[in-house]
Amino acid sequence: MISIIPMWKLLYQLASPKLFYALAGRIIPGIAVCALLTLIIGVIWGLAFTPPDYQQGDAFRIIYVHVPSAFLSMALYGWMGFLAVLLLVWRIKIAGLLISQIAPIGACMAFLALITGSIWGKPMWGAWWVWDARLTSELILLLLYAAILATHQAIKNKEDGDKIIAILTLVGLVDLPIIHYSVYWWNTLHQGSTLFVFARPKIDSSMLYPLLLTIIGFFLYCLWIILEKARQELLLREKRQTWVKIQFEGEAK
Amino acid sequence: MLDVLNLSFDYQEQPLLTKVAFHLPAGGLLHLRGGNGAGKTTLLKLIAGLYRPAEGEVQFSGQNIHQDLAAYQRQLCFVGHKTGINPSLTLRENCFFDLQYQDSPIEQLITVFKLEQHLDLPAGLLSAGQRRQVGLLRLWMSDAKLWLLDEPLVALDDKALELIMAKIAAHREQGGAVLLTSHQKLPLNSVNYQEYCL
Amino acid sequence: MFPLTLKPEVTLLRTIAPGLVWMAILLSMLLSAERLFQQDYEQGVMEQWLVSGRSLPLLVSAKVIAHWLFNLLPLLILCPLVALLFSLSVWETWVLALTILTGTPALLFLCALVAAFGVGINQRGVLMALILLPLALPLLIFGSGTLTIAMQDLPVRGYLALLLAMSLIAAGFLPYAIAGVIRISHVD
Repeated sequence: MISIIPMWKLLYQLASPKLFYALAGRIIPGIAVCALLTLIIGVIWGLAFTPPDYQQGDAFRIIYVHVPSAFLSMALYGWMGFLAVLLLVWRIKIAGLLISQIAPIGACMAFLALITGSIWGKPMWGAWWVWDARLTSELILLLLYAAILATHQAIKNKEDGDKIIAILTLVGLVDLPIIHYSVYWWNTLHQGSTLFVFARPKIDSSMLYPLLLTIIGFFLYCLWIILEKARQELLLREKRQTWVKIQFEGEAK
Repeated sequence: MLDVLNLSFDYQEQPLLTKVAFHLPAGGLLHLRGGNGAGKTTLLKLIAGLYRPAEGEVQFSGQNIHQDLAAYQRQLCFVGHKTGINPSLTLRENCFFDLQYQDSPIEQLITVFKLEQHLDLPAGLLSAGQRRQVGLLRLWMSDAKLWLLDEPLVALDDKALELIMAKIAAHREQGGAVLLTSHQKLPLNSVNYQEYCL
Repeated sequence: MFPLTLKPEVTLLRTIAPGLVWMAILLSMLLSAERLFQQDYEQGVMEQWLVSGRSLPLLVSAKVIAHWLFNLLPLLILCPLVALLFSLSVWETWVLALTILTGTPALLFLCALVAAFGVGINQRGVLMALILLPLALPLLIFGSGTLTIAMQDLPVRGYLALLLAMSLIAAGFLPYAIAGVIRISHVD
């Protein structure tokens, strides 16, 4: 109980635009440096120093882009779901702003995962696209992101748009597991097609560490971009508030 | 009965209403005046609880309306600029499905504005003024204490106007309160009503 | 119409019939639901809902269920016709009717959600399809899958139960989402 209360207090304080702006501004440089470091180390390690796979040769190295982006496309959606609850239940406006900023990044990640997946799939499976359960689910995720973005675009009032996409995010969050399992079931129903199931061998630790590093790097990079964009958007939306005016008169001096 | 305290509201990031304040007692009639775009309709919707104010609050019987919005709204009869009439349903169905409808016989209700020969016609075939009258029939249906009427007198003929004003007077005598907007002067000779200019 | 664009072979038609029928159902639902709330919005009926102090999810459910009953009838009447065109057996026709009966409530609630998103937005057709398609995918898969299973003479009861479960979940939760969207988007 005791540990929960300070956390809620912290959340509520974070909900104030001014504090969010200041705090995000303070942690962004740190996040940016960490993101670049982990990304560079992870990518160089993965691309240059990891031994090639005994089955796939050097082609497997795309894993260092594919897996992090696929992971993040899902993690960001989960995060959006959490923020949607914050917005709709506790009316924390900053959560809505964050949702609208996360959605494009999430869409990019899903798109990247699909592209790298199909580039990887061409030499491995001999086809750019197979209707595998995982691929189809990822495609649906991308469509959901696209729907969220389009809805947000279509609504003139930004804050109403935030709330509406929060509802859409929550409906999608409930629907996603159902979609995944239905696609999986549909896939087993249509077994015997040209689908060549690619059994992934257990990953070796020499490959695993750079992979973990790139995942962390991608995560920090997304966080960095989201916070930076959220800060800009916050300034735009709150431009008539006194704290913004004070901030800029202060910075101008 | 109704207190509006320092109400402010922004529309499309522009301040539309700033520090609106008035008191409407039981049995009172308040006439909101103001030109086009002055925020009459917005203020009415704020009082109806459709919007949340940026600042200030609306109190009904000393309680903020957003504390128990549903309970407050059940004591409310709102006739908006849009009539709330479904044009593909007949008049009878429109009255029957109206959320203000209690259980008074519709045949009797409809005689107020002499619309009985149109009772089973689709409402879309009525004229604008007649549709307006059907919308205002809610005042005869409901037992709400507070009436919020947005431009109730537009498109009405003299006869209907008289009926509405008489109904409003009767409502006030029973202790109800009325808040109405219009950009013209009220056709009332009596002086016992308030005016608030936006 | 679909058979005209394909080879008129009975076996081919039979294998693709479930998918075609369910796609057709989805499209017809989307078209009929597109303006589900539009008139209410334009004429101010929705405003009356919002200021009435009654439960908005309840009003929305009533509206959607009424709409469902009126849409269900033509679909069920068309079932034997579809069966004739795609040479389905009597049992398969029954299964088709049952999938329609159990699957369409969820589909219609999703359509209603999408219609609520579209209220007050121009160019909403594309937007609505974009939102609806990913969300409705499980229903399409299980709706058509159940019919495919029935064609292979396998038991379908479990799949019908799943469809029904989805419909119940949709009918339980989506009215709140729809009401939320209506409340938010009603601020002009």
